[in-house]
Amino acid sequence: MSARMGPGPETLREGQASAMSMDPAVNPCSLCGPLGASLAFKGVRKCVPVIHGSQGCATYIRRYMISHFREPVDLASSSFDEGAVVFGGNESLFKAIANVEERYAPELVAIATTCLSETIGDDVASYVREYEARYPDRVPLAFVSTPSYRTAHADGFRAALLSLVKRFSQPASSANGFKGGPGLNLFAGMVSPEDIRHLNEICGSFKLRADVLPDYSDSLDGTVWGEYKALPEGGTSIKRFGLCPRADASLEFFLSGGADENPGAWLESEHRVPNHRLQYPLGIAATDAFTDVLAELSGQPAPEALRRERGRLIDAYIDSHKYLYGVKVAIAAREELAAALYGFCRELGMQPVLCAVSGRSSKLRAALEAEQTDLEGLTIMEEADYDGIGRAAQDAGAELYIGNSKLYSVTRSIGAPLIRLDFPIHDRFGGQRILSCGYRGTQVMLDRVVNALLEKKQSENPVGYTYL
Amino acid sequence: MAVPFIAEREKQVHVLGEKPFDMACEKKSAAGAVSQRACVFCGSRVVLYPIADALHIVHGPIGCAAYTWDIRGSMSSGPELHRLSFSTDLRERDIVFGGEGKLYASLLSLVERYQPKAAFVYATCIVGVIGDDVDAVCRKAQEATGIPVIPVHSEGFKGTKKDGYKAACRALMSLVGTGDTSGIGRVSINILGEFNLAGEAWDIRAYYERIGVEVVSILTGDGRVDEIRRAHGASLNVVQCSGALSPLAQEMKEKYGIPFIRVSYFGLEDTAKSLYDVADFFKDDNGEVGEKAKTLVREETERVYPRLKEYAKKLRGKKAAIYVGGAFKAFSLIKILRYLGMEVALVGSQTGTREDYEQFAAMCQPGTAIVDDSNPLELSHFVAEKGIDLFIGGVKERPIAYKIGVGFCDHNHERKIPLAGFEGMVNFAKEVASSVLSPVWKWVPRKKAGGREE
Repeated sequence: MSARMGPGPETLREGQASAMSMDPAVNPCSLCGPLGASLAFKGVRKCVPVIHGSQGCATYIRRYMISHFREPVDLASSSFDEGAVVFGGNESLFKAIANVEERYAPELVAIATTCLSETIGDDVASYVREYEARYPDRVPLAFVSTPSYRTAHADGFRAALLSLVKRFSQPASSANGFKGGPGLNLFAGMVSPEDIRHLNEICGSFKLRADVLPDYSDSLDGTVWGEYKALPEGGTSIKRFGLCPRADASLEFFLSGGADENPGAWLESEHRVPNHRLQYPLGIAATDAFTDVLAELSGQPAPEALRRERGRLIDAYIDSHKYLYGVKVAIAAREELAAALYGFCRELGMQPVLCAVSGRSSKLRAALEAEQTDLEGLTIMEEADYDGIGRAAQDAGAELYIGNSKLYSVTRSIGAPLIRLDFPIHDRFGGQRILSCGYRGTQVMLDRVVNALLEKKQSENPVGYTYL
Repeated sequence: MAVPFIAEREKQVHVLGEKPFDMACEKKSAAGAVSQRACVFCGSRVVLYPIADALHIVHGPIGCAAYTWDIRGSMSSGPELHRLSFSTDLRERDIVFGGEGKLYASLLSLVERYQPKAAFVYATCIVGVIGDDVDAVCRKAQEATGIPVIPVHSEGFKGTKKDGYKAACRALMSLVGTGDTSGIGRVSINILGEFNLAGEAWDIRAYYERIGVEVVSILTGDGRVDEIRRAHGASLNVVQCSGALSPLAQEMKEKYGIPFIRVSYFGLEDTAKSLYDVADFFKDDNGEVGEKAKTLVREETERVYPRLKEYAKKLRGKKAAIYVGGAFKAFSLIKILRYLGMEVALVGSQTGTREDYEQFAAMCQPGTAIVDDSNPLELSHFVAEKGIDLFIGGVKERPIAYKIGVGFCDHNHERKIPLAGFEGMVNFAKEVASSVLSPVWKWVPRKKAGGREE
């Protein structure tokens, strides 16, 4: 396959087997739906996710998440055996729930299905109803359908989040449940714990009662403990999910999907909570759009501190622009982040040559076109794998790569700098603390991008200047 | 209130001296137990993974391939095809209509592109359910490509990781015996159960060659299809690791009459013993082997001993916990830790047998906790109760230790530091010391006298 630099932008589907394709995937980008669901569920207070399938599914996902967050990630499994495959997984699931309840004293047990349980036709919705009817006083359950043959990790995250909002939303009959200011549901996607903290901080600076949902900023990036805890602190309470319909607005950064897929859209259609779908706030324009909405909702102008952050960021854009103009960039990330990175790169005069996402129902092209910038010279790749990304990026002469740790499989041999972002970060420290939103996060990203280019220039320079 | 133990696991946890020893093991993981185990597929995948000139294609949905991409620190001296991840990436449509066509097409295109010496086709959970005839597709692809295309029946739910080892051994057995064994001498071995993590197999191979023993094949570290094909030409199989390659050794004994011995390369004592045992096996063929082994052990021990003594001085009296996949590695670790002056207060494995646990009981002091197929709550309970200073395990155990301020040493297949052999023992001691002796632990609330809770 080659990335064609024809008159218009290309959307390639050849990188990975699309739904109808007979081609294999080589070095997959996509993780599986249950991983995304597990991440969302870990953002619920005292929640234990149960992966309904083989033991390996839970263990692999744990290993992936532990290596990224460097925190305990206890995920239970219904631990299918051949009997469960033949006779159905309900007894295994009930046993798993009971064991989890006994040992973890959870406030929620959240079930994500797998390829296996879906393929044998397990009706988990009815199992959940059966369990709750049988044991009305026991732990509440939530569940989401996430077979990996249908859902990539970002889809699984979104589906799990929607399932939580649907499951626990209380009708908005009573008054606003948010004390001291307008309430806001903020659905930010698979962001880092640091992003969650910063988004909450920005909203707080507008005196909004806003919550990033779900909030795993403590549960997956916690402090050291005096003694071992069955479950970490932090996470969004079930009660807070209940308040979602009473919020004054929702804000979501998802690109794809309608009311049947996205929590903000669902709350709007079901409970008439006004929904603002925005681009992920990376870059000046995207962050402006975000803070404009916050200003509108709160009736307050942007606070001085935020305005100064914005001013410093523009100052830094100017200071660094010459190092960045025309630099060809390859982007591989979840779709809303990829779109935001594209906008960020264009703001700085860089030239994105590849925008790749692992997802299977992407609205990426529409989002990029909405930027009203010229897409010429850009390859858009959906359902990508790293083999396809590597070839397309090299064909297009990419000089800088932005993506997760696995993108190193592409950049190592060509010696191009890699800015690590998104999930997973397995070969560097601090993946959970990478900030990439707001003016401050944009500043962090700018510094990282410029410094990566300077470092390469310096190390390849025969003179070895200490002054660049 | 959360409790660390569940009733159905009662007999899989034993504290020495508390009651008569009667441990249960080799059971399927309890649902909801948060077992540290993976699945059958994982077992097969890790065993076959280091074969570097073979194509490894995962027939199933994308996750199984994604999570096992480049999972081991297994090094290759040549081709690195094993480090790529191939998947048929089954979608909903394939679940309904079957994935055989996709598998066949994938095999043909990948074999053409990468020119592997053989292809391993891993069947995952749903392949077993939707009824793809993987064997038939493999046969057809083998005819079309002219290379061995070998099915690995590793459906995740059909047992435990150990069953995955067996499936991998069956796949290997289809290669063994198909190569030319001419030129192989009498004093020759296969190294089994050595996966060349961080280049360890190269060190071990060099030891054997130094004492005059020919290494025909390493299974599967730095593995090559053609070497595996002629493995039946060796006189002895030297098997490391408790379970992984034992089924292959057993089958090669039955089919080719090749005896096997069990060894470990962790620690000076066990490394030396493995060389002596091999030398002993060949004593009637070549008397020099024994002498050479003694010389090697003496030279190597003299080289590393002063450094180990320094570490042992600093580590004396520290308490360790061991939780690893296979029990055989834990036997060595108990000895090594003792050599360093440390005490083992918790030991367990994912897949140990009753004999393994009896041996733990025989090796350890009263009060030592022994666990089978354990989980974070049990492990953390004992780590706190026993006052552990160092936890030895894999990535999944690391946060259990770190979160409550306990040192950690990665002894799993993801590590990038060689810990086998003589020099490996020094690396191990250094690994242990750099965690146990670190000053960071004094900031942990539990350990700081009058320290405040964060």
